[in-house]
Amino acid sequence: MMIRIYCWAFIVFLLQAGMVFGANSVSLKDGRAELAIELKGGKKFSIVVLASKPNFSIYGSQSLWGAEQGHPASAIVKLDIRIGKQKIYIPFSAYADLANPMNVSLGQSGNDVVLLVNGGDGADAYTAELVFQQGRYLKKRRVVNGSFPDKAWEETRYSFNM
Amino acid sequence: MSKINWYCSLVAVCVILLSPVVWGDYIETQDLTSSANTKFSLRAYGMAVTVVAKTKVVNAKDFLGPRFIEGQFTDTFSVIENLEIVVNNRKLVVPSSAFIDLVDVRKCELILSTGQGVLHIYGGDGSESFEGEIYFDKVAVRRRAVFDPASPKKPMEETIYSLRVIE
Repeated sequence: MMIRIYCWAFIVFLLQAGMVFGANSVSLKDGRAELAIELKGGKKFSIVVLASKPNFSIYGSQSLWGAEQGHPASAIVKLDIRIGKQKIYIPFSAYADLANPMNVSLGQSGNDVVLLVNGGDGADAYTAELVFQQGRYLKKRRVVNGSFPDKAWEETRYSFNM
Repeated sequence: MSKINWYCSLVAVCVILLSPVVWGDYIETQDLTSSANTKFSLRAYGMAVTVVAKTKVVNAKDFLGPRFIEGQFTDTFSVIENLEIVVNNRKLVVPSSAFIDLVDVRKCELILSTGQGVLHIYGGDGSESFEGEIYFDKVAVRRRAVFDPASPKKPMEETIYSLRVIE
């Protein structure tokens, strides 16, 4: 009986994960990724992610997500997010420390839109989750280390004046 | 000694013990624009804290790249290249997200109170001004909050850290 319950729970988990992030993953190998989904009201939520080699020594020796020893090969330099044609304000802190990004995916969780950024490699691997309240503004960012997701993480809550 | 003298002495001791001079916060303030390396120390409440802030003057347009908006910033400003916090000879892990987004930094202030330290970083000008607060204890950096000075009660953003501490 218990095994059956666990199996059903696992199937539900897989279905939910698939619904949220199943189909919409794009590589950042070329330094640019574009993603879009349709919100419940019919409007388009679109994101352009730009990544390139950072110019300044500010990125030099710092411990960044995806480059613990510093000197990353690339970092996210811009997030352009729009609902329809209207641009959404994204603070620099939402992506400034995300180094060596590999791919991004976009999905929906309930009424919220979720952008996932996977980056780093091996012990430096990380996943950053940016949650947009009802697709309208950035509400939360959570970054977790791939090797120690329970122990090494940070979470930011945003409440800027709109 | 008469009873009145005894009571007076007791009141005086209580006043001294409860005064902010004995139990209040310890504060050290430093300018971040006059030197590329700002180092200062403070010792209180069993914490000997040294802060080293390495800053760099950058061209706003080059630094901000696609985020640059004409007229929003001065031509050049200071950014923090590296921030070191040492507590009781132990170097804390300072996540880059605690300071990497703070541009046009101007002044910092270290405050020690019971059990914790707070490094305040002030910067910007006019509508771009901000106050960042980095909270730490003897073991790790725990929290960061950034405030708009016009709304000092509620942070614009607040980050909680759970980072591996290597013993």
